[in-house]
Amino acid sequence: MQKLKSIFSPRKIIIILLIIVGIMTVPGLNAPAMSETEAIVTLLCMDKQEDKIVMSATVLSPGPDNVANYQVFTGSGDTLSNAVEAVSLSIGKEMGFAQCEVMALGENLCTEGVMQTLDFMTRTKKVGRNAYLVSFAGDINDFSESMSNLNKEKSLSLEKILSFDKRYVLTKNCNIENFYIGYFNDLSLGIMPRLEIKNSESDNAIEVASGGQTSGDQAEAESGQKEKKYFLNDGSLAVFKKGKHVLDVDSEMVKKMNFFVNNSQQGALTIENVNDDLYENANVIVDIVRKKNEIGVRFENDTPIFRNRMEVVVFVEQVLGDQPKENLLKRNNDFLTPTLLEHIKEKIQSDMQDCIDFCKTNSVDLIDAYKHFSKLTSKKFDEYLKTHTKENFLDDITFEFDLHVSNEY
Amino acid sequence: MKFNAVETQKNIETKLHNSSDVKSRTVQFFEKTIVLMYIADITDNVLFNQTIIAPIISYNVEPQGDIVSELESKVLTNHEVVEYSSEQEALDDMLSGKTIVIVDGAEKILGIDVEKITTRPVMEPPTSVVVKGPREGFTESIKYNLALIRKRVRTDDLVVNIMDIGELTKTQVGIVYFDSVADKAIVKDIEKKLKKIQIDGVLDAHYLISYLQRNPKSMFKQIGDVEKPDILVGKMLEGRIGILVDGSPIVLTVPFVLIEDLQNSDDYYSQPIRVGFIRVLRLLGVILAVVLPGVYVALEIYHYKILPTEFLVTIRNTTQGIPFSPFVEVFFLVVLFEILYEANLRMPQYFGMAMSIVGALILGETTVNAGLVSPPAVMIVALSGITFYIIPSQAAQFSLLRLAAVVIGACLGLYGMLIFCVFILSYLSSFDSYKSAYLAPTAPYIESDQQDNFKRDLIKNMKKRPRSIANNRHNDDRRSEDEN
Amino acid sequence: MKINYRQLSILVFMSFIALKCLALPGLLYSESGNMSWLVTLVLMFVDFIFALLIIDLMKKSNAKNILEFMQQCLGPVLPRIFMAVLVVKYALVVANISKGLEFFVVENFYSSLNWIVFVLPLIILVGFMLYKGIRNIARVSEMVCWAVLLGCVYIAVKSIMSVDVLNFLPFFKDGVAPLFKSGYQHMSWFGSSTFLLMLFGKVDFSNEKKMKLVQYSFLAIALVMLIHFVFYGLFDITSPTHSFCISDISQYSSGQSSIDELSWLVVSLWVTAQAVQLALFSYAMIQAIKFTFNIKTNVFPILFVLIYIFAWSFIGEMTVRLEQVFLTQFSSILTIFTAYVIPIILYIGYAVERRKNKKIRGGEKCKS
Repeated sequence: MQKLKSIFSPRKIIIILLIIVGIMTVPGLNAPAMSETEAIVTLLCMDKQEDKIVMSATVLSPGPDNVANYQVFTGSGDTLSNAVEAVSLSIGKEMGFAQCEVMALGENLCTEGVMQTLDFMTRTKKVGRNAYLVSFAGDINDFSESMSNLNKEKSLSLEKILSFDKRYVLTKNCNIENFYIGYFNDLSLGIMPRLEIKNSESDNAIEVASGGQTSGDQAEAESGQKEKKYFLNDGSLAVFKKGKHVLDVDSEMVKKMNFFVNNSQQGALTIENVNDDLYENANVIVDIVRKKNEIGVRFENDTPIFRNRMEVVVFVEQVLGDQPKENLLKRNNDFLTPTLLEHIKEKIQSDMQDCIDFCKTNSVDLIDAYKHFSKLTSKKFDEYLKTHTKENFLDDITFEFDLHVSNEY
Repeated sequence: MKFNAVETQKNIETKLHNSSDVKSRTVQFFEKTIVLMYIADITDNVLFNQTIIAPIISYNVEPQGDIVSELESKVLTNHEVVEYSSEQEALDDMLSGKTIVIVDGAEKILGIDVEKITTRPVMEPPTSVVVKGPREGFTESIKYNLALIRKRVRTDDLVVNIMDIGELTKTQVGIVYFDSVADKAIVKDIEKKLKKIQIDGVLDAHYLISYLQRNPKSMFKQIGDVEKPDILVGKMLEGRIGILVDGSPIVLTVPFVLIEDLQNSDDYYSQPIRVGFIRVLRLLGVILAVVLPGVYVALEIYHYKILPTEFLVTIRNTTQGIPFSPFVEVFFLVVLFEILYEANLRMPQYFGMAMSIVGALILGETTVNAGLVSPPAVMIVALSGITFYIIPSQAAQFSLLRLAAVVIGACLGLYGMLIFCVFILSYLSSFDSYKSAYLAPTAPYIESDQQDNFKRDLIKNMKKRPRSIANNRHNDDRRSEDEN
Repeated sequence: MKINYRQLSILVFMSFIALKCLALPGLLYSESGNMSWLVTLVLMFVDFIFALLIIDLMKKSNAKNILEFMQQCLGPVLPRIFMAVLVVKYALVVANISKGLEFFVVENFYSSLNWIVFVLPLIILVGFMLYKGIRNIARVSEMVCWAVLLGCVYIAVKSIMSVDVLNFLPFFKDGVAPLFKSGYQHMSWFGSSTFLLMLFGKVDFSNEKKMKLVQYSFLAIALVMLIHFVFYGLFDITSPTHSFCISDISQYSSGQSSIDELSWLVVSLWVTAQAVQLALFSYAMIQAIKFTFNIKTNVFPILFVLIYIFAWSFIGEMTVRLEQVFLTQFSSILTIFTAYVIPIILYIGYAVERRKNKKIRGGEKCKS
């Protein structure tokens, strides 16, 4: 026993194990930095063209003076793996998706369904589920090249733009995780921002490309073009049902939808034709400084009632049209006259009604009515759903708006 | 036995191989011959003349009884006169600076302390510099050092126990402690260990460390060392025991707990709030010093995904084109730093500045410019190198740990680093120093000792002696109730 | 080598949070939906009650170890059988923690990691801690526990604003049956108090502060519930697709970039906590092996446990998925028996034995 003990002395065991670990891990001493052996993908665009998956990866590469340098590589394949392989081959490195902050999906792919793509990218390729998800209209090469140039020339990244969107115009934080949550819920409804690359300049488009330098097979073929491209982010949304793109929501409607979402900011409202002691047929621009929603649902005589109680704090920003010069001497709180207040209320109510009508017409519950009813009045709502479908359940819901508007001092 | 003065003188001279610094002087005291023997270089001539020669020669009252007693009680004016009954005893003391007085035909030899203490003046030690607070540091003389302690402690409770260690050097080693505070079992244990030491010579306090610590092969410090009397007395008041060695300005203290190295004498002379902040900063500094280069290598080789994109851009841009792997790059810099440090330490002071310029500016700048190493690697190794010296007394251990961390970071990545850190914690938790847990009062957590752990309470609130340090429990209160 | 009462409380804290913040929340959701948190809460509370019961027995007994105590209460044969059953229970927990840790490390830190490279350093660490004994494990736990607690609270608080409280509604939509079912099915993740059985005779109750244990247990329950609350509040219906609760929360909370630096620190802390928990349950397993086979030395049981951890890593690599083993009825019954039935039997046995002794003493007094 004593002999055995001396053979198995802890010190000896530890030394033997250390030697084994040392032998197995010694290559690490000469291993290069992983960021050199893997291509760091920051933006991944995918679309479907002629039954092939086209993938375009924006890859981070070293540049001078701490400035990021981005290169775009494109490849295609019958399957997602083949497409990844094709892009990897053109880069000459394995792709690393850990830094991939945005995944952009083309219109064709969105129409066919995105869930398999998302599953492949998150589960197999380890794209973080906190990455932004956007849909884009236009050619994939134009889009990825534009994004790369946006970063290079304007010091803006798509990620930054979307992150600002989240505060201002979008109804939800559109990342992969939230898309998954929407997909797995009863209505199987998901949304993502919709971006566009246009050939002509529009109101709020940014010039991002003029046939700049690209790499990869397809991109290279187009490098000779000098046509100007414009990137447009107006806050519109693409709506998905069961993972397939079914509908687009324009930016105006998105703004209206924001009245049902608690943590979204609204921006400015234009109140037209205000006439009272202070204003003479004026168009008044009112900024919504803060707003607080309280969504309440209940059943009254088997009728579902959806109540949106909202407190809105506004600030009169601008008065258009000729106004008496005394108006300029007024204090802030004097600008919000009772007439203007009424106009604001009417405007907001009509916007909300528009939004509800839109949802009803298109059978998409973008105001989370289903969620509120099913969570807060589940039994009665289950009964209600016996006579309705998930498509038309909004039709017989009564909507109540309780609006309180006050002035920002 | 009666001593024949001339014969004894010859015997002693023979025993000392007729060394040329052994001097003797024969004087006549009434009818008796007296031989005074001493070692010239360690004898204070003035004292010798004033307290031995002059009194003997000028004494004119005929002695009535025993001459030795007469000399001792009436003639010699020196403060310390010792009697020896053997030649060897006298010889031993002569070697430590005493002048021996051999009276022909007497039964005793007298030893008189006229030792010339040659030591540097009391100065502020370079490793324990304070902004505000006492600046006196120990010197190489045990006598001076004891004097510095006594100056601060005017109590009969202070015990000083001196013994000689070293077959050839016979170095004086003193154990000092407060009788009512120190744990007697530990005192006995130390005495036993010191008495057992068989060594030719003890040239510095560090010679004793391997005899005193429980895990002699461990790289971690298990015995405290102080260079200032105020720190030593502070530690003794908590129940620790000091070990002084003649010829060394370092005083060893036991028991030792790791937190002592995070504490500085300055801490007790400044505001408690700042002390808490500084101590946490020191701990952070130590952690950074040890793990930072390893973590950097691990991040580079395995985990770039952890880095935010903006930071990754910076790293990628600065590391492009470096011909070496991240490990080689950092390892090279760490070794370079160690070489520069070692060279700087041993170099004459006037070279020091030039060396710093060559090391820091020229070597650093040119290696980066030549593309041999990347700026982040230089920055990280430099930062780690500087933070070592937040706790200078553990810098040697930490530099070895840092090297280990770099290798582990390269071989196993962050997971290896984590296992390494837990292993170190577990290892440190496993050894106790003289009844005190090494990581106390954090592990085991001792609530009452938190008064002086990472934070420090007001001195007036620190009423209890620390329980992390073994001491007489019945004497827990630092002052009586009415004083509280 | 005894541990103090505070260290015991911290070990209870560590054992309570072990296994609860990685795969469990996702697994529970598949069965019991948005009420999964209640299953965890109730079962953790039951664990707490049984921890109190075992510690009470520990205090009352004057036995040197659990085997001696069992033999005093239940005679010579039954305790050995109980010990053998406990070995199996601990073995399952050890396998669960080590495999969970491996998945966690590989998923969060590496693109790929050789299983040998993972398991050998872990074995060295656990082996060292086991060799140094329970006091060492307790001291390391003391240092790690606060960092883990603060880290988890940081991660939870950072994400709490994104939690949608509606995800927890409606309560008991499908009744309580699914909760019982999932509780029973995932019983192996609970029964944390079983390790306490192996600490008989190893705790110094001289400086006992009774509330410490309650405080630490409730802190552990509160921490686990906070993490579960944030997890279900964020992920709702996608919860079953998340295998690493702690790191997935931190990834979600870090916005659009990858996990932020501080969250990585917390994820790293969780790895250290898991390693300590592994050492704790390995220690319990070693003790049970020693008692079962009457082995006096520590070296061979330690070697056995280390080889076992190594083997699990190897087997897991080859074919068997750990969840399949843990979701069997066998492992649920085993947990119920070891964590709840054995302590109750011991308590009854102890009470009967004490009554007998009293009677005998009373009889002797009458005679005298």
